[in-house]
Amino acid sequence: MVVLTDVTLPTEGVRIQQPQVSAYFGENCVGQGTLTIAESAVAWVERTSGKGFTLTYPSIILHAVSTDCSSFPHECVFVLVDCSRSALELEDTEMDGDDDDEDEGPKNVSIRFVPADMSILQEVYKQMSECQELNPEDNSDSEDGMGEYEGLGDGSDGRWFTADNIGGAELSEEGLANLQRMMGGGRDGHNGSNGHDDDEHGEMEE
Amino acid sequence: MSKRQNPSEFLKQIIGKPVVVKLNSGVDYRGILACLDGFMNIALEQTEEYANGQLQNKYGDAFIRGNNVLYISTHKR
Repeated sequence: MVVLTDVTLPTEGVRIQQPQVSAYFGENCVGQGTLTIAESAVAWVERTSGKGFTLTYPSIILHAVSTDCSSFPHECVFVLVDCSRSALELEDTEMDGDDDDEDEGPKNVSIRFVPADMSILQEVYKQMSECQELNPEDNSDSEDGMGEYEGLGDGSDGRWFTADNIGGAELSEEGLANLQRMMGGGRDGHNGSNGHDDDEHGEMEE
Repeated sequence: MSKRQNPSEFLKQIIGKPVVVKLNSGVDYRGILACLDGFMNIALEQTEEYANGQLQNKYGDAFIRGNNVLYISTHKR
């Protein structure tokens, strides 16, 4: 279970501030309060105590809209958080039963936001997606210390590639490194200085 | 995989298709690849979450942060 703490609510770039949202850690409700989706973070503050928690976007592995009530009895916004990258304070580690083996590996925690007003689920999802775009990885903690983002307009422009425009896909360095890893290429994820906009093919030397 | 493709060629082939996205944690997500962005963040539709081969959850839309993805592959439903 999470330890609720004093939260400094983001004041800038607030996309959504929704009262009457219940927060669940795993299956356990920690109360009802106000959910804030801001460009810098997601925050939830319990109504009576005024305490809550904050999630930065890099710590959010996945967010989703769940309308399937077979595994959890409410429609919700589901958020999977990488605890090793978040400031969440967890009381004890028996969450969710997901992975019971006490590996020393990073622990993920499932958080569900259940609003009284279900009509906002899609909007919360959409705004969180947009805010994820605004918060790429911090280079200082990337494992291979790849270059800066300067000069790379691509990636951070909030553009999404669908079947209609994928031909012009431009990946940022982070995107390319991710793609290479996903495709099993480049074991050490090395990528050179391919800051070109038009052609992404050369330059993927090992 | 004989020759390295231009990334956009690969992406063109899989957008709109059923895919499996495996996270570093080992959990995988199966769904229709709706779109992705320059960071390889991934948006799926009709998503199913599998852990240890068992269906855990279903989501309408799911957004996965690209740096958590171990691999993405096509998937026949």
